[in-house]
Amino acid sequence: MKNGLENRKVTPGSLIKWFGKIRIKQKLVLIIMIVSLASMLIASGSFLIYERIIMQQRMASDLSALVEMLADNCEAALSFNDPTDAKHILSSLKAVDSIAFASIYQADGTVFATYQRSDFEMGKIPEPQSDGYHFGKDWLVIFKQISLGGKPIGTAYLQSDLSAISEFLRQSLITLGVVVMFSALFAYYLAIRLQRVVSTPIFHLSETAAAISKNRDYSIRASIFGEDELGVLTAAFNEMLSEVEKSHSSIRDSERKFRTLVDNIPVKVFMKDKESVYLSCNPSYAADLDISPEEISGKTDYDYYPVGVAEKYRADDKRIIESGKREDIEEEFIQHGRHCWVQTIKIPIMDDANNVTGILGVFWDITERKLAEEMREIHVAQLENQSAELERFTYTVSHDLRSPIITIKGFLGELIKDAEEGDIDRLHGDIKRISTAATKMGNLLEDLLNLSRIGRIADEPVDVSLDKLAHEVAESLHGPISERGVRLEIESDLPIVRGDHVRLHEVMQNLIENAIKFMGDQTRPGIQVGSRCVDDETIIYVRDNGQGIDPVYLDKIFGLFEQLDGKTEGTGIGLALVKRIIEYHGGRIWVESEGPECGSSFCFTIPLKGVS
Amino acid sequence: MKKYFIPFILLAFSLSSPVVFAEEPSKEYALKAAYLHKFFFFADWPEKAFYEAESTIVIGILGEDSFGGIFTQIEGKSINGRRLTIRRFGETSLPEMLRRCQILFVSRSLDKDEKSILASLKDYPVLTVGETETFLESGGMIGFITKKNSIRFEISQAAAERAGIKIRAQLLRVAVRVIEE
Repeated sequence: MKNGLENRKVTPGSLIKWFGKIRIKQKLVLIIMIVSLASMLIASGSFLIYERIIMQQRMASDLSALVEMLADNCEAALSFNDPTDAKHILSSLKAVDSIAFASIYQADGTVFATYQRSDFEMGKIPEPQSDGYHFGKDWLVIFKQISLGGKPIGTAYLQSDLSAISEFLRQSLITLGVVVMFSALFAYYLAIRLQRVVSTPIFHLSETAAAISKNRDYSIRASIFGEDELGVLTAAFNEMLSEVEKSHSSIRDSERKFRTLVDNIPVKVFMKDKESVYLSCNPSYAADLDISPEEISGKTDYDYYPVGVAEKYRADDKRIIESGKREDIEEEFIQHGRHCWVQTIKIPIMDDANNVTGILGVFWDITERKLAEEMREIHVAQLENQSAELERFTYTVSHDLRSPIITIKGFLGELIKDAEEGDIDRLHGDIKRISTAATKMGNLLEDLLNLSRIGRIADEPVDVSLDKLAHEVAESLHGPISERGVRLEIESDLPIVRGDHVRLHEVMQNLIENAIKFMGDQTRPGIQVGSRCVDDETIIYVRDNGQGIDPVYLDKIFGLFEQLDGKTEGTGIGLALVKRIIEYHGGRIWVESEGPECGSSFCFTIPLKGVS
Repeated sequence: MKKYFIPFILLAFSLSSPVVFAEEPSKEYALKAAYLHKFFFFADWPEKAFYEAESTIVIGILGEDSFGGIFTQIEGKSINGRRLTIRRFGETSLPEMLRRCQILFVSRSLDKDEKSILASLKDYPVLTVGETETFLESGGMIGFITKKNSIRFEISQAAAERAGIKIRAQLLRVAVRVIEE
């Protein structure tokens, strides 16, 4: 209750506050009304005061004339002691409404005659005084000496009420009130009309400013209404708008270019604030997160990444915000079951005062590059391997080819000498030696040619039944098999594969020949050709119970010219050839052996029929 | 209804003894003397009335002088710029002498000769004042009457106008009786 009253109290402060809140239009009208009302009231007040003074003066002079006349008229009555006549004279005052009381005194101050208005009751009759009038609160009183021949014979007294003045003032007040009221109404009407001259440009200007700030449309211009200060202000405002529009359009232009760049660049771009909360990202990144670009605002890494990853990212952000230095980070992770790499550049965003306000992140997928690098490394290793192989090959070839040539050359000399001596037996022996060496050289060259052909000359792949193939090989090796007394077992359900028939024949032949060759001292030699399934992969093997291989050499035996011992005949190309053929077909080959005298089994895989 | 003022009541008591009148100037004659010279203020004489000396006003007293020394107090005073002079006339004074007065008081003692005296002054600008009841009928202009213990007077405006004397309305109003024609 008390508060409510206090709140409603009008204080100068609250008035000023209220005045500050109302519109200029209302302010102008209010000011005009205050000014015109104040001037009207002052004018009216002055008029009333002036009128009152004039009225009083007139009344005083009227009354003076009246008392003068009274004094003149009463001279005889006083001179000849006729109060009846004086009373009669006084009674004529009835005609004057304002006179409430009148009296005539004799020279000695005694009352000679009186008059009293019918509605008036006089209390004590005043003592006679010297000439003059004075205004009381309700009365104007006047004394006038009556004299005859310069000798005072009495005094006249008049008392007039001021109701005429107050009545006149009351009527004037009503009239003025009405006049002021109509004037105020007219002034209000004029104020409403005329304030527009000032308020319309201001209102228009403020409307324009509001429209601009609402719609961000800087092409709007305020109309200029005149050449006064408001006109100058409006012109300056328009000029500023032009400037703003120009710079705004260039900003928009650059913004558009920037947007276009960011939206279309294949790398991922995002922005975060100082708290590592996302502000925005480009469509590329959004597509990566499977969201629309708008959705990211307000989100954090926790919303999109596993906790560990998110924490790592946020730690990176924190470090960069604190250091203010750009960082280049390469990251590796598993996405959709695939190994991925990305390169991320995080750049601190600075404001004009060089404070970090956030982070700009740019990253892109470098998986392909990484894979390419890995591939390159593999290729380099392969190339190094090949180059070593080539070197060895060159060395071996030149060495191996030289030895039969030396033999041939040597025996050619012997041949010439023996021919001169005519020793036919030795001549035959020489020729046989030369022939053997030439054959050996021919074989070597044949093998090398064969090896080089792989990968260069390819027949159309066909379905090859390994079952059938093994039997063909067994047929062609019938000689060596029966010579060594080997028992050859071929599994009947070997798979049908797709490949080059001739090459695969060579593989099978080489493997079986090898097995026969390295039977060692085995008294009951046996070779088994079969297949087994491991992890959806069919492995074909050729197993023997021969001399076996020291595990140390398991990897080496597929190298070119890697002969494990010098005693064995052969060019040292066979297994290298086999390996190359299998790899050419997209398979793998390896050897398993428990060690010397434990036998060995050569295993390989090869794409089955119907698998491209 | 007539109201009496204290002076008049006092006067009424004093009038009850006639002896007072004979011996020294009574209140009656003091009043009559005052009235006599005040008449100057309420009447206008034609210019020819002042033929002796322009600067005097003459009040004449014809017959028995009951005023005592009252006039000595006011004689020589200036009235309307003229010096007041009192002249006393015996019963046998010539009318030419009387005609030089502006105001002539005819004493009660001459009531028998009133008519002849007034006739001799007829048409001359002399304001005649008497104290008998028949004074106006005898051709006088102002007659004192002692009415209910106060001194009043009656006026014959006709006689005054005949003599060229204009009596002011104020005086006429105060008079008990006015004869106009």
